[in-house]
Amino acid sequence: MTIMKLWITYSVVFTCGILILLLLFRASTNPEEVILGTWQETDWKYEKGIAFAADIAAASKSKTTQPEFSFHKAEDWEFLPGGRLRLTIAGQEEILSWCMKGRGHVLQIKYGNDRTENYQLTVLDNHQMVLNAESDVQARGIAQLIFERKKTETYAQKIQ
Amino acid sequence: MLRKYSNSRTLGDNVRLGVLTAFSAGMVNIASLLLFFSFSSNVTGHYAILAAELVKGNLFQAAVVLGWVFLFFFGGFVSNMFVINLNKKNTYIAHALPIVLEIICLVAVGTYGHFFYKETLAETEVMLALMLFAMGLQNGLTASISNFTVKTTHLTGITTDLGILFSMFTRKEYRRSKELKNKAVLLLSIAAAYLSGAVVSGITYMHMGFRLFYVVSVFLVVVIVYDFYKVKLFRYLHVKRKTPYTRPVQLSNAKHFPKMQIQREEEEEVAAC
Repeated sequence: MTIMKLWITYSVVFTCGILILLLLFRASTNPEEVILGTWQETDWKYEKGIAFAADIAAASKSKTTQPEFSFHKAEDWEFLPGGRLRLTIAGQEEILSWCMKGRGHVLQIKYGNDRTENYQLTVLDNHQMVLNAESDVQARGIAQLIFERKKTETYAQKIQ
Repeated sequence: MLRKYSNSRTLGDNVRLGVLTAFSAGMVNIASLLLFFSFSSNVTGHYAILAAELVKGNLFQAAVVLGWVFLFFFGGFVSNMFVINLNKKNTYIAHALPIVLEIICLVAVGTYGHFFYKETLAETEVMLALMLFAMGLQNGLTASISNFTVKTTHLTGITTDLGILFSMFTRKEYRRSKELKNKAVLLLSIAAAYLSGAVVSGITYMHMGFRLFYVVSVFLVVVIVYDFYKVKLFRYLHVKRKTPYTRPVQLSNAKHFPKMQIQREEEEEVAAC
């Protein structure tokens, strides 16, 4: 009888734990889905800005490898399903690949030449995305990229 | 390493078990950090992250982290269930099963990562979950069979204990204590092995990628095979002793050698089994 009671207690506790987890998952949205769409870079913020820029410049001079981060300025980033990322820079398009790591808090962008950039996804909601470019090699500072979701007009909106 | 339980374990047993499993845990932790950007052998940070994600309202991330913490807990739970329920039937099997499960989890991560991984978030989270479960199994087993002396997947407690021990060694009476010295040796061995595993993992990760998990599994296989070999040897010696014409032979003229040694080893084996 005691063993039966014990089994029931343990089963109930574990089932409750699993149910809470499932409920949390149901109540939330997967960041891989939230990120899909077009985002426009609105701002760059540098913490220790001069140090960051100087370090990147120094890194690119002292080493034959490319600096760890590219300067993305006023670009449109379109996250497509299947891990493709379309960057529009001054009207020119570039296709890269993207994926998320960890608990969905790291955005990894891969260039064709085996170069990879990792960004911390600080904010990701339906309107805003904030990426922290953290470098642990050469750049001592942290750069923050701020995006706003670009609203794409539907056909109905266009003909109004 | 695995046959003896609780207080019947020697310092050598604990050091061997601690070093091999800590080395594996160090490798797994750094591999998961480099491959998935998340730790897998300790959960203290995950508790902090869970709180932070809940405060920020990121329910998805909170659920993921909660799931990982639960799996680490569940690993310890399963491990100790094997130990307490199978210990009387077969100590070796009871202690080896959690390691076998851990190897299965790590080989699954290595194989999936190497051949099938498409870098989706779901895959990343499931693989991290498997690694946390594996580390929970390992930590639960080592802690359980060593009477909570050996914990090998994280170094918070060990670093604290070392701090306490070294402060005790400032006094003469504690410096003379063999028990405390043994404890310091054990803890330092574990910390050094964990750090070495982490360094080796960081160096070899670039070349091996997910195949690193096969190397970790090899270390765990050594833990199992070492004791399996010892068990077989003991059985062989036990059968030989039962045969009517076998007698202990004095191989050396030195007093009590090796009879005394054999007798002591046999007593230890009987106590362990």
